[in-house]
Amino acid sequence: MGTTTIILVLVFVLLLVMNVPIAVSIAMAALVAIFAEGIDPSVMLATKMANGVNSFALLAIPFFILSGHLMGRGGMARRLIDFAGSLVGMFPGGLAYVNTLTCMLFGSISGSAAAAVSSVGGFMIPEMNRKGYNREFNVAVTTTAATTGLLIPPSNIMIVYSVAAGSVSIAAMFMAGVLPGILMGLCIMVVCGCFAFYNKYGSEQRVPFFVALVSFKRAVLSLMLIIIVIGGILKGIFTPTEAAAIAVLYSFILSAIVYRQIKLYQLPEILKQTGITTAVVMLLIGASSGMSWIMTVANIPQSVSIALLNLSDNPIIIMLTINMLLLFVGTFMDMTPAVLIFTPIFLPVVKSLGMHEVHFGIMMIANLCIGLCTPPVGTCLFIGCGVGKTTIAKVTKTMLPFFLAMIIALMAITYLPKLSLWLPVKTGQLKPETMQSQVIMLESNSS
Amino acid sequence: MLRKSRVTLCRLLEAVLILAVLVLVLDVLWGVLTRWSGTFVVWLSERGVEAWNFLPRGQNKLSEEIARFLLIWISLLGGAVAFGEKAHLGVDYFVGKFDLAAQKLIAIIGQVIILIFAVLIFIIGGSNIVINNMQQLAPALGPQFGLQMGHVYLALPIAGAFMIIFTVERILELVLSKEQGEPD
Repeated sequence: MGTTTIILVLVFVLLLVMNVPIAVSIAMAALVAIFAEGIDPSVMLATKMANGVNSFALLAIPFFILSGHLMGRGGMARRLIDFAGSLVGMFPGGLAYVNTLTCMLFGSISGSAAAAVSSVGGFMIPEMNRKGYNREFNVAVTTTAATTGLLIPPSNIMIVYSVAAGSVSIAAMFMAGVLPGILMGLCIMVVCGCFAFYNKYGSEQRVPFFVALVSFKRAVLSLMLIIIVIGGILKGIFTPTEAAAIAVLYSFILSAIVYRQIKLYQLPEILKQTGITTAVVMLLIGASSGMSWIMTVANIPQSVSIALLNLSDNPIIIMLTINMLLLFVGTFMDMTPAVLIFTPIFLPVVKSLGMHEVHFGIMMIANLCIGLCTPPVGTCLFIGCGVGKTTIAKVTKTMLPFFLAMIIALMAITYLPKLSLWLPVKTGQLKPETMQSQVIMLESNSS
Repeated sequence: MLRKSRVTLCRLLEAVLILAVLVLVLDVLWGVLTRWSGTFVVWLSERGVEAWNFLPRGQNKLSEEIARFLLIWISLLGGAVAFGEKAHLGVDYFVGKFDLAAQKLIAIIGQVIILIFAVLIFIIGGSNIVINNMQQLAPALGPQFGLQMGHVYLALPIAGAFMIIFTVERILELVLSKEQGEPD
C-alpha cells in the first residue's frame, strides 16, 4: 500500500470515530491525501464539491424526497394499511403480514425506510400490541420490512448508486430492484408465519368483497404514484428526473387538493426540510467524488482488486467476502455514505469477475438494508424501538430470525443474477446479451 | 444585537433555500411541458399544420441548466443550514464509549475540523474558483443572460461563511457550557 492510501484511510477512520460528519470526514481525508500527492487540494476539492452534484440525474433525488414528504404526511399510512388488511389480514398472524406489505408499499412510495417505520409502525405496532402480539416481534417486523421499500422503486439510493458507479441506467436499476425487493418481503413474511404458528396468533376477520373494493379505491390514488413514475420511465414518456418532478406535482395535487391534508402554510417547512435532506446527500456525493478521484490516483481500487483476487480465485468466495465486509460496514454506517465510498472500490473487482453493475448495485443495497436494522447503529432500528417503546437490547434477540431471512434473501440476490436482471431485460432497459454474460459467469463458477 | 442579526441572517438563508427548491420544481416541470409541446409542434408541422405561436418549442437546454445550477446552490446552502441544525450524518457510536469530559473535548476538536473544512475548501478553494471562472460563460445561460460560471460557484464561499458562523457559535456553546458533556 502506498503512503497516500494509508493517509487517506487513517484520517478518514480517525475522523469517523470522532463523530465528525461523514461528508466532512471524507472531504478532509481526501484533502490530506491530495496534499500528500503534491497537488493543491482546496481548489481541487471545491471544484469537486460543486461539480460533483452538477448533474441532471441527481435532480431526481430532491424531487423524490419532496414527493415522499407530501405523500407521507396525513392519511397514506392508514389507507395503505386498510388495503393491505383486506388482502392478507385473514391469515393467522394476519397483522404481521399487513404490516410487512404496508411497509413495502409505503417505503416504495415515500422512498424513505425511516418514514415507513415511523408512519406505518406508528399505527401498526400499538395495534399489534393491543391484539396480543409480542411487542419485540412487532418492532422487528416493522423495522426489517421498512427497508424493502429501498429496493422497490422509485428509490433514491439507486440514483446515488448509479451516479457513484458512473452512468448506470437508473431505469434499469429501478426495474432490477422489484423482484429482489419482493423476495426480501416474502422472506420476512415467512419468519412472520413461523412466529404466528408457534405463538398461535389469531387472524383478522375476512373482509367482505365490497369493503375490500372500497379500501382498494381509497388506496389506489397513492399506489398510482408508483405506476405513473415507473410506467412513465418505461414507456419513455419521461426521464427519471422528469418522472420525479411529475411525482411532486401529483403528490401535491393529491395531498393538498384531493385529501386536503397539507395546508399551504405548511409548504415552506416541507420545502426547507427537503432542501436540508437533499443537501446532506449532495454534500456526501460531492465529497465522495473528491475522494474517488484521489482513490483512482492512488490506485486503491486496483490494490483492493489484487488483494481480493489473491485471497481466492473462486468468485463465490470473493462475493461472500465482499458481502461480509459490507455487512460489517453497514452495522455502523448509514446507507448513502457506504454506497458512495464502497462502490468505486468494489465495482472494478466484481466487473472483472463478470458481474453486471446493475446486479452489483442491487446486491449492495440489499446488503446495506440489513445494516439499517442492526445495532450498534441502525437508523430503522432506532426509530422502531422509539415507536414501539422498547430497547435495542430486548429487540435484538427477536431480530435474529429476521436477519437470517434477510441474509438468505441476500444470498439469493447475490448468486442468482437473473433475479435482478431478468425484469430490466424483459422491459428493454438492458440488452439481452447481459444475461448471457451472466450465464457464462455462473458456469465458470460451477466448474 | 449580534444574536438578532444572526437570526435574521439564518432566516434569509432558509428563505433562499425554500425559494430555490420551489423554483427547481417549477423549472423542471416547465422543462417537461416544453419538451412535450416541442414534440407536439414537430408532430403538427410534419402534418403540415402551423402550431400556435404561444406553444413553447423545446427550450430544454435552458431549463436543464437552470435546474443543475439550482441544485448546486441548494446542496451548498442547504449543507450550511444542515450544520446549523446538526442534520449531517455521523457515527456517534464510538464517541459514546468515552466519559463526558472526553466527549466534550472530542466534540470541540470535531467542530474545529469542520471549521478548517469550511475555510480551506469553501472559502479559499471556493473564492479561487469564483475568480478563475469570472470570464467563463455558462453554456446556455451565458450567451443570453451574461451568466458566468463564477457566479454559479459563488455559492461555495457564501455557504462557507455560514458554516463558519454556525461552527464558531457551536464551539463557543461547547466551551462556555458549565455542565460536562455535549449539550443537545
